[in-house]
Amino acid sequence: MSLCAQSQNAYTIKGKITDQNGEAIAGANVSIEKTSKGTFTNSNGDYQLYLNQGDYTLAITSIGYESELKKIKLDKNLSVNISLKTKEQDLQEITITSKEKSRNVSSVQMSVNTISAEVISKMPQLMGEVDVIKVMQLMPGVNQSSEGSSGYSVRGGTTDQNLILLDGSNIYNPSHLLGFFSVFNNDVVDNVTMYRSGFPPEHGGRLSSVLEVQTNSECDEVISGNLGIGLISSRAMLNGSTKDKKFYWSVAGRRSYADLFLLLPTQYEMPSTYLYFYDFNAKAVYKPTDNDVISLGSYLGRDRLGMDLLNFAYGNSLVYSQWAHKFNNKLSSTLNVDWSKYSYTLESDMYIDKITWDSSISSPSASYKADYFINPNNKLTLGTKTFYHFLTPGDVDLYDGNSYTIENYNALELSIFAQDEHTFYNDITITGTLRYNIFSNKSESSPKTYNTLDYRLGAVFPLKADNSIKLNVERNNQFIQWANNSASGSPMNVWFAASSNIKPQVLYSYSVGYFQNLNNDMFELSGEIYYKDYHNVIDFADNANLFASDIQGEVRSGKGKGYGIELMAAKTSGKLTGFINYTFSHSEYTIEEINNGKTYLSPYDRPHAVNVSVNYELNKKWDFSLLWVYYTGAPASFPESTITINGEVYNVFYERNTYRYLDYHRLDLSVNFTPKPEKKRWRSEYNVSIYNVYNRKNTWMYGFNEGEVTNYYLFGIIPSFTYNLNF
Amino acid sequence: MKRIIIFCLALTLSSCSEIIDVDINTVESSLVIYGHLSSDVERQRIEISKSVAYLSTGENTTISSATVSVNDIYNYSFVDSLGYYLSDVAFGAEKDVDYTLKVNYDNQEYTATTTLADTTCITGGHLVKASLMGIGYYTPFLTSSGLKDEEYWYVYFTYEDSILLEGLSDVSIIQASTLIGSEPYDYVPFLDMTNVNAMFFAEEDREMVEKMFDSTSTTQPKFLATGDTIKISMCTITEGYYDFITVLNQSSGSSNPIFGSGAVFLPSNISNDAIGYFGSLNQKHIDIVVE
Repeated sequence: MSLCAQSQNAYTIKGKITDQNGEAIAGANVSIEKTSKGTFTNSNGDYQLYLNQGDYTLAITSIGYESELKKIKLDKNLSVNISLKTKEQDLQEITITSKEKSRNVSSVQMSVNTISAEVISKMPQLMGEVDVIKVMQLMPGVNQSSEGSSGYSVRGGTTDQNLILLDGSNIYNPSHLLGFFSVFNNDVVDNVTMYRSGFPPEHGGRLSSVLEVQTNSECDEVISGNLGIGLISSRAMLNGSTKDKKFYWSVAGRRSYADLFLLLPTQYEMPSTYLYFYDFNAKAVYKPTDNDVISLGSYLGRDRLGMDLLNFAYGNSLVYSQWAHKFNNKLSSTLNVDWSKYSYTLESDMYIDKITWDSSISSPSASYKADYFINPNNKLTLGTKTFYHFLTPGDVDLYDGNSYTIENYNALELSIFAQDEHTFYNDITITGTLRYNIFSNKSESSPKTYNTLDYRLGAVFPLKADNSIKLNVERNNQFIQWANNSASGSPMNVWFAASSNIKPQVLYSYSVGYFQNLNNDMFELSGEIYYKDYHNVIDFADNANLFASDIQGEVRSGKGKGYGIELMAAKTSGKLTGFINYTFSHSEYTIEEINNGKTYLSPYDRPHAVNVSVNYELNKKWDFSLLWVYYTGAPASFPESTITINGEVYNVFYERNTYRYLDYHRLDLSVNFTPKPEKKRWRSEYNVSIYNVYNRKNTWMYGFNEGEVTNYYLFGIIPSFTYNLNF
Repeated sequence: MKRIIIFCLALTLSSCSEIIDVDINTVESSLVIYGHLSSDVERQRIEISKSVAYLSTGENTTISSATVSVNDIYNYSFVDSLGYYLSDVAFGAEKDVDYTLKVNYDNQEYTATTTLADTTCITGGHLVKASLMGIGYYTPFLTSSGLKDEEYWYVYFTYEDSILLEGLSDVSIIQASTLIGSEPYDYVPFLDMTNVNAMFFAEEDREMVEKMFDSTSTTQPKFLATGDTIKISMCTITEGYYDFITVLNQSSGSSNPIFGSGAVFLPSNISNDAIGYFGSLNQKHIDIVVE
């Protein structure tokens, strides 16, 4: 079967996967049964595999199509085209588990979840939007940082320990509208993948997770589009492709009008109050040859909020390009060049506080990665990635024309990586990654260069064809972090770098998992256990002033640890699909100058979290979704006594995070109705959702005043309606 | 600036709320000692009380049976006066002198030491009237000298008819080093406009302003009319005292997920695990008339 002596001849099998009408099927899974080998078709429906000589069974699966098996004898380069039949009964087969159906067991990658845009579109909505990040917050080990927030914690890590990528380029703040929306526009999102450990070798610089958001790069029509009208925002998208499919383009935009609907105070007038965001995505993909794909894309988003004399404006700007080239059947490469910037501007026009405060992080970067198949059982990946960060904590213009600048500085972040993935006897596969990092803080006040090494070791031990055990051991470094105590999507994120005063944060992480598929992959089960050991982890000193010019002076570092269990069960096909997962997660810090040196809980410690998602497709016109979310309330500090000074009463806090907010839970329901699903053009879709059906008053924050505790909550029950027009 | 942001967001993003029952540990009561010596010759004041459990209400926390004294080369005794301890004689703190506070209560001795910080000069002051959302408000404005030294920390007290207008949670504080700019910087925006409590609204807009404030809240607007006089004390303080007042400033807000935890941990320079601070003020004053 797949195990062959390396001296055997190796051949290429390639072909095209189409539907009954000859239309290419993109994203179809082409795997070799009973092995860990497999791939996906590209936007043209093409696939290619490189295997040793032998007899194999090709398994082709794709959402909405009948699976197909085909036996082949590989003793020369083969071209195998396969046509899939439309699946009448299970049209909405949904994948919400591991990255590839059937490969969730055999692949060495663990702690990963991929969700397609189609699945996201079926989820219940909040104020007319299903947000990519909020869907990922439902995955095991992932937790939202506060109600409605785009901030999330992975395995107890902080929100800035998550690397967030749009088509491979950094997004430094994924939040719109203080976190109620993310920067990702569903209209252009193709799929989302989150890695909680064992990151791909090209990614690093963060400790807890990597979130890859891939946008569409294909379209069946010369021009088509989508128009969505919701209660709080509207959006439009146009895309198209040339008939030869060599050129693809898309543009999309959103604009919110939240300020019309939020609960503005009514007891007095508030002229000129505004709160909105807008964003644009644009992308072009050109395939000059069968071996080259050139992509160019950009994102621009801006939030504006304020009133009369005070204005916030913040957002991300991103330009990226990619050239993927295949030299031959064994060697391919990817070159990325991009530039990402996050900035905010705070303007006060109030007389004595008239001030303009600009802060930003701007990072041009370039990366190059080459994949080389030494033989079908051994894949080598080599590459490098370089950032040059321009950090501007604050350029301040004062009302009298004077100005001052908190020290601007630059930092170089260079990584060289190598990974080898080798499949041994019985399809045991081991992946080893080394990543050598040079980080150089070039500030005048605290320059420092660090040379560090990341390593990642992963292994899969197949027990049978449908179950396996996986292991992962890794060490990662993080060199930049943000000064933000916020649990939600605060716009005022000041990124700052490791320096002579602040060492890079280091995480040693250990994971083991069991993976089982049942009933021909209809059910996917997994269980993972992890342990995390943090060094130089940072937190902010008691009473830290994050508006201070010397942010480093407010930072303290020490040790931390986390451990947990993640259980997941998913039904991936049939009319009824969905998943249930449970996470136990513990996270704590011990930092000498915080909490009197006593160990304290991280704000992201969540002993128990449960997510239940169910989707039922009654027929092509109607489908229904249910979502129930539960997690233990976040750790918090409560005052334990009060004192009176000068006639004023003050709360006295003694220890950090010894209490918890109320447990969080809510139920969401959603109905999608497509009156004429068979129409490709001018197809209308309606969505009615109810967020927080039983009106749970989930805590956003507590207020402590005069011996009372006030629970502030953002959302009660929220119905919403959205109309989508596909044309 | 932080407060102005919170204020605006609070207006813009009003959330719902309800009073809830929460179990909070009952901690042992601690002695609370607070006071400062002024450079002005006057009867100095120390207040002594006890902390109470957060969920308890209505307890009298005042301590009236303590023995209080401040020593330099002299020994100043303090006597109980309706919940405060006043020095038996008027005196003013002087530079380069260490003042030691001693409090004896319940067979325990509590001590703290302070030294007067250097001073600066007020060179002028006036009120500027501006408008926010159609509502007139006054901003007091000072000019002074000596501000460019990063060793200076300031607190500003405002009085109207000899009545102190704000508590420590509201007073404006400035660390001079944060004001250092590329150009000479010779003024202090003494009343931080980010502090809602410290705003002086125009008397003619009283009706509109009062609608904005919950009448039961401890935060109430202050009004000025033409002809009114306010007195401003610009006080140089030590870094430690500045830190203490800063924390009291921070504690006036509640926890907020946007701006982080509301938990604040009070520093103290009092021995024997007492809560509070014993500081000193090097004061300069100016009277400003509303024109």
